[in-house]
Parts: sequence; C-alpha cells; structure tokens
Amino acid sequence: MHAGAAARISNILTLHRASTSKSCTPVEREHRKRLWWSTFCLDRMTSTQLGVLPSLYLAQTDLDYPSPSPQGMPRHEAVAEFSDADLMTARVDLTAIQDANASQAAQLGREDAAPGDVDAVVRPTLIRLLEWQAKLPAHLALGVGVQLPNSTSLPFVRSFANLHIRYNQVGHGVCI
Amino acid sequence: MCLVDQFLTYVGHDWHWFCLRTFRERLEATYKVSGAPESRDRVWLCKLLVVFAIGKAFNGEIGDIEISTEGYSPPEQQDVGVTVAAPTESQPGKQFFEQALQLLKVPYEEVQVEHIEVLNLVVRYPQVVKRTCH
Repeated sequence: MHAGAAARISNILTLHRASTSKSCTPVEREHRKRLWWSTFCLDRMTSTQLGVLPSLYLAQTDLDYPSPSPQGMPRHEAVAEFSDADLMTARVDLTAIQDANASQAAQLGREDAAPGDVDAVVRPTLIRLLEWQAKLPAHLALGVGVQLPNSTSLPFVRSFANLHIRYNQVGHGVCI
Repeated sequence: MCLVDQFLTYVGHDWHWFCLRTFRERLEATYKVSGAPESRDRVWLCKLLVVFAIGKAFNGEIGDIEISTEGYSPPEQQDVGVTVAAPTESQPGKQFFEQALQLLKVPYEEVQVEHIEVLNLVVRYPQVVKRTCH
C-alpha cells in the first residue's frame, strides 16, 4: 500500500519527467531523479513479492540514470549528498532486466505456449545479464576469486555485495 | 547516531533514500539545536523514526528511544523529549516503526518529495525485518 502511495505521489509531482526539475537546484534535480529511480525499483520489488501489478513503468520516464557528476554541482557536494551513482545505475538496470523477464515469462503460462518458448524467454535474459556484468565499471566488478572491494567504506562494501547477490538472484530466478 | 550508521551501512547505499549530508545536518539540529524546526516537523520525525527502526532491525540489542512530539516546550526545555525503554520487542525496531506510522499523515492535496522518501522507507522496514528475523 505504501509503495503504491509513493508511486502515486511520484506521478502527482511528475518526478518521471526531467523537464519538471529544470528550475530546481542541481542537488534537488539529482535528488528528485534518484528518488524516482529508487521508487521505481521498490515498486517493482513490492509488486513482484505481492503478485500485483506495478505502478511505475520504464516507458513513462525520460530521466537519465543517476549521475556521478551532475551538471552544475561541485564534485564535493555530489560526494557528500549522494552515494555511488554507478552502483545505483547497476541496480536499476538489474531491476529493468528482471522486469522484462517477468513480463515475458508471464506469456509462458498461456495455453498455446510452445516448449520452445521457454528458450525464447530465458536466453535473451541470460544474455542481458551477461552484458550487464561485462559493462560494470571497474570498481563494481567482482574480482577474481570473488573478492570484495578493498574499500574502507562499509556502506559501499555492503552495497557492492548486495548488488552481486541481487545479480545472482535474478539469474537464479530466470533459470527456475 | 549508531542506529543511523547501521541503516547507512546495511541499506543506506542500495537505493537513494534521501540526501545524505542534508539528513545528517537535520539529525544534528534535531538533537543539538534548541527550538530547531526539525523537532516539530512531523514528516522529518517520521522519516527519522523509520531510519531508526531499520537500523535497529540490523541490531536488536539497544533499547528504544522515544521521541515526544506532544506540544511545544519552552526554550529552556528540550523540544524533543527523549526517554529510554528496556528492549522488549519481538521485532527489532517495531516500536520506532509504530511511532513513525502514528506520525505519518500524507496530505494528498499538498504532497512533497519528502513524503516519497518516508513512504519508501516505510516499505523497506518490513522487508528488512522479514530477512533478518526469519
């Protein structure tokens, strides 16, 4: 219910439209953008868990991904107010892959679904997951021997681990 | 601060919940500045309580700190009443969460970005409890 309310308020405030943040300060603009992406991901997570339709859709937004250096914002301010942009972008991409897979997988329940349809759904998703992994920035890539990053930031290390756990969960979900 | 650090460590960077430095500054004002607007800001206090709840869900040892919002106290008294209760919860952070829900009232005619922040956090708490307590 609360996820639905968050999504509804996002729509009321038209956070999904970049143009509505044009008159905001650089911090507010990036904050609104990242908040929409977070609300989208949480909406997807909740709707999947509860088996209900999501409220926010990728097709409705023209927002860019989270930016590590938002226009007009000094670097120190970006670092102080926002977490790693690439990490959040990677999570958004995973959510988008899972969402696309869920939509296509739902077609497999049709009475006229053919055995070959499973491969037609699973294979593209697995390819997208491999592409996702291949294009991760260096600081987000999982090291040889599955090593955690050498970082003093516990929140970053934790989120790094969560990201790769999520990647494996999505892949596992595709293959079940 | 410990519960906030717990929150930031375990889930704080998974998604964008709020602006990090701004949150810290408001947190400090709430406790250190007498008469700070934060101590009477319902939405802010709701957000803070849910952060405490989620932080505590990852660390169930600390007793509750109750934030009082009943009326306005004279400047010589604290605007935010703080009492510490013994840990009695079956779900870590439940009392913080319930206090937050009591404060949560979304005026749909005058919604703000901060309402979305609070609602996203409210969504997250039960998910965290489900994972850490089962």
